[in-house]
Amino acid sequence: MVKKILSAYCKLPYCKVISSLLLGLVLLTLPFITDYALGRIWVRILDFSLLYIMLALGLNIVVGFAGLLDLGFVAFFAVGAYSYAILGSPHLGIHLPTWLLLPIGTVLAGFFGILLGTPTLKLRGDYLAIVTLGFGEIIRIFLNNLNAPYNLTGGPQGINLIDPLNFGGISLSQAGWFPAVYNYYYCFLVFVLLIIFTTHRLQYSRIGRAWVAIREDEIAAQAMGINTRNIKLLAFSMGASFGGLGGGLFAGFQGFVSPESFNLMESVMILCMIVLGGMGHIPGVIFGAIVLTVLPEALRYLGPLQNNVFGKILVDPADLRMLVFGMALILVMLLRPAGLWPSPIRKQEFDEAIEDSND
Amino acid sequence: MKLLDVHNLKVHYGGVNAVKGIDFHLNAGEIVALVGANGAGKSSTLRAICKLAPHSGKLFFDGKDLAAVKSHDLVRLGIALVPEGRGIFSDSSVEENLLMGAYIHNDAKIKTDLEKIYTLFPRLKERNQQAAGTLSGGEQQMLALGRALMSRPKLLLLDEPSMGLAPLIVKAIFDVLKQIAADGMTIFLVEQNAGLALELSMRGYVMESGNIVLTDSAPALLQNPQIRAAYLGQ
Repeated sequence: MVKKILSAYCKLPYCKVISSLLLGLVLLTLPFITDYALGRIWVRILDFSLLYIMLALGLNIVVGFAGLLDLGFVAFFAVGAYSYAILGSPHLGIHLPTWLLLPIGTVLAGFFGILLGTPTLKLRGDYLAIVTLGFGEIIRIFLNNLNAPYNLTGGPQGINLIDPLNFGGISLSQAGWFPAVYNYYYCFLVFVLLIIFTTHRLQYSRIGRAWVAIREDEIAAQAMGINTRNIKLLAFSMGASFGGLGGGLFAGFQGFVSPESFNLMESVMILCMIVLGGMGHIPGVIFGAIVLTVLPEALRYLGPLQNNVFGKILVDPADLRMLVFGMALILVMLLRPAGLWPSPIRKQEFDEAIEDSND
Repeated sequence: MKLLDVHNLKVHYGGVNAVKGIDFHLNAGEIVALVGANGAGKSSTLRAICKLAPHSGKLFFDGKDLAAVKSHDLVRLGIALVPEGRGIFSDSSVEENLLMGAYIHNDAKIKTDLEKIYTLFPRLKERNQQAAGTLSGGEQQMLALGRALMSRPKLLLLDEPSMGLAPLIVKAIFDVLKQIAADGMTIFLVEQNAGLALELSMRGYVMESGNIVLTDSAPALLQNPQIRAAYLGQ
């Protein structure tokens, strides 16, 4: 029934225009609706969803397109966040403008991407994962310890009172017409749309195809004339720079960064977003990022829910939350092995594999 | 004119000498087969030509020394490889695979090339939007061959194109190779199936434990009692 309505709708003239307009309207009014329906805290979660979409799309270039398993992606997020924090806070007394801070973080993260990429060019699969994991930890431990002999990062205490995002003299934190979280929502939305546009264009460019070729068969890719070294480094630095941009926005939004925010669990979560959503498929990755940001927050209501149903709290919701979350991940992977929203061509292959194994 | 000229080629993996200093050449427009048993060093030879295996010796293509040429630049010189096990991009569609073959080109001729490949292999046209990984083995081999042709090569290197395929499919693929050769393509065919390879070829080299032990015209090799006994089971 739903399918019938959908296909009938798609036959309408201007159906694409109507859909885009509807989507645009929803995106524009989302903070108001969310605030009204669920409360201000959920607008903040919305902001974080947008940040995670940026990170997931960045990692998707490395893992989804080029097939290079990266478990240390959060390091680039950290580089972006810390470069913003160090150059835009009273910590060192430097206050660069936002329009400089964000590009600096982006470029610096891209540079770190190359730094990670160069020694790992010949590694693949598990081995690459281990090295990238180590890289992620190295960055975090550096940030944790660079408070002596010279206090660059503030050590475990992090950096506080970071300048908020500020465009043309208008600070997003000094509420204009809207509350600050609304401002950040619209700001992040613009960046997310920019990143979606860029990744989409990349995917169908020569570079995007070269990434996919390397993922599928590196020797054949070389035989096609692809300079695998440069193209792999490009994937690393491109993905890293998206992470760096996200980091800068995060620092400006939070006003506070500390090494705790950049632990291994973050890397794993971002990877989960991609795998769960549908590796290499942009809508899937976006969907995965939203689900994995919203779900853990939504599961906080397990406590009140128990109270309503049983009249008391039976299991500590903090414990139950991660249990249910883990089970949800396992269920998704069992029922939809190619991800929640895989690319059509990948789905084809997974279906075939399942049919084969049934024979 | 010698298109590919190989002098004293050695391939060694650590302490193992897979190829022990061989010389051979291909003239332009020739089909040459390199046959031999498992582990004779055929694939290593091919991998060395493609700069995919550690090697020493001299390689010349079209008079140019290949010593400083990187693997990924070979296709720009006009050497296309159909790798062993086909190496298709299984998550991409058939058409995307073929377009990847034209990676080094960026002109209007790609479209006509694509049509040519579809005429050679109508099966690929039927399935052009399908994921390449869902094709049968024979269709994947056709795709790998088509993809290599998309780079407009002067020399086509084939590594075991008959591997794991049904005889009928192998025949279809070899028929296409014959057509391509008739258009003047130089083909270097590495095959375990000596009978099949020599029937298609003009000349042949026979490899045994890292050395070329015999070379002759293909019909002569097919008549050679030694070859008949060792490789053709007669």
